[in-house]
Amino acid sequence: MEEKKEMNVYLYVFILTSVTALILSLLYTSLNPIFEANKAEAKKKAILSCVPDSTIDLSNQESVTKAYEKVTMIAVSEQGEIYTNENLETINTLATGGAKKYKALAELDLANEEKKESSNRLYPVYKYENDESKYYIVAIRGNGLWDKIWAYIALEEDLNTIAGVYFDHKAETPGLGAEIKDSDKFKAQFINKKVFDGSRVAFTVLKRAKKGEHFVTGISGATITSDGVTDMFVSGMSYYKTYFSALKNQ
Amino acid sequence: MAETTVETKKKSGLLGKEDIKLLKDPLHSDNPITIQVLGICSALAVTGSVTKSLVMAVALIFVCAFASLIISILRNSIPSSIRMIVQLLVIAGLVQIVEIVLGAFAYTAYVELSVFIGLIITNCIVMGRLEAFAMGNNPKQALLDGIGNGLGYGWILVAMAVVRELFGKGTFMGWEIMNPLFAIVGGEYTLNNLMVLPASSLFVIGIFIWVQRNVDDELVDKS
Repeated sequence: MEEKKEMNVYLYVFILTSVTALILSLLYTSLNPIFEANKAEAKKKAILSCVPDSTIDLSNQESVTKAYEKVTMIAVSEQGEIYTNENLETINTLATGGAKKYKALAELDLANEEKKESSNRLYPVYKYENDESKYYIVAIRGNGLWDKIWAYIALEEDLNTIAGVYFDHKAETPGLGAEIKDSDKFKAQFINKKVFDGSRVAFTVLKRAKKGEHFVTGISGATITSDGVTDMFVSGMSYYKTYFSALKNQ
Repeated sequence: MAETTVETKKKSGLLGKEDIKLLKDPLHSDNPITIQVLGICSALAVTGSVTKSLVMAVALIFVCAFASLIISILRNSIPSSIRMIVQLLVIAGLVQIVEIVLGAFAYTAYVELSVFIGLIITNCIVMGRLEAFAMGNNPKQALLDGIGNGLGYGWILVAMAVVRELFGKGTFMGWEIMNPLFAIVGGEYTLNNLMVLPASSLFVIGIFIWVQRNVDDELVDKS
């Protein structure tokens, strides 16, 4: 390359990073609303996917919107206190430890709740009600092998029998840990199993499943992810215990 | 190949003979995956399904083309001591653009690919072409070289995905292929689980390289 006069390195980097940052932030601010809408839509689909209602067509946007009208959402605390959209201000006063405040209860997100002190955390309950039956869908979150895993669990009206599950993960290995999300066979095992044994969460994912209403078989080659699912059930479900027992005594 | 500055200025129409060569060479005789053996990492990771690898291919073509163009435009002003940092900044910026745009307009692909989209930043093809070509050639040639290499990477990726998805899942872009096909002769296709695992890509790449060198003798290393 021919000899040339070079610009000051610091000035060059400053200009280049500023231009890049400007372009990216403009693009981000203009496209983020669409991204957020996509995310909300995907969440609705995830929740509805654990409801055993054959009239819901998840590939059809209209059907999803229509089915989601049958869902009402509340949030509960570990002590069993119930919060609705009208308590939004109270909910936001609980947002400590750098947790983000919500503009609507529908935004409630376990990843955000985890930032709060444990006594301030809220957990979502989605009630789905059609002509024949009623399902309670709860959200749980835990650790897989590489990163977070989370799930929606639909319970029947007895608040114990599993009606459907939805799993997702951030970075589990494809073909192994990622099978919790991809394998229909794995998910099908959960249906009609029981979460609680008395007041204790007894649900367990095992290497070789024992016959019984509390057990399912894990994924071979993904022991840590499978154990993660067990831990997620044990901790996640216990937060709902007080609310569930209050509901049953009604 | 890489260091040669293209000198021919005789041009017929929009693209000269040399320009066509820049586009065409990476597709076959100078393919980034099968000949240069670059970018294997993502080739292993995303070739499990055709749709995924198509999105990945388009994303890489975009990043590779525009990174080459931008670096080539800036090439005479970049202080040599921070050459690679500037290249990295341009690539990272473009990858962010891809990620934001995918998140807004192709959400499903974004969710499935998000980790790997970020990894384009470290894809050796992009930086390799910037260092080897864009730093020493004019913007038009650099753009063509970027597109050419992106395409060369992309078509191998998609071809591998076709093989892996067909045998591993029995489908093509989600459509059932194998079972209806076997049903004609009254059989049933048993899925080849090996093809689902990333390791199978190595076999598939190996077979591609073997076939390619058998078809074109000139690619075989004579020594």
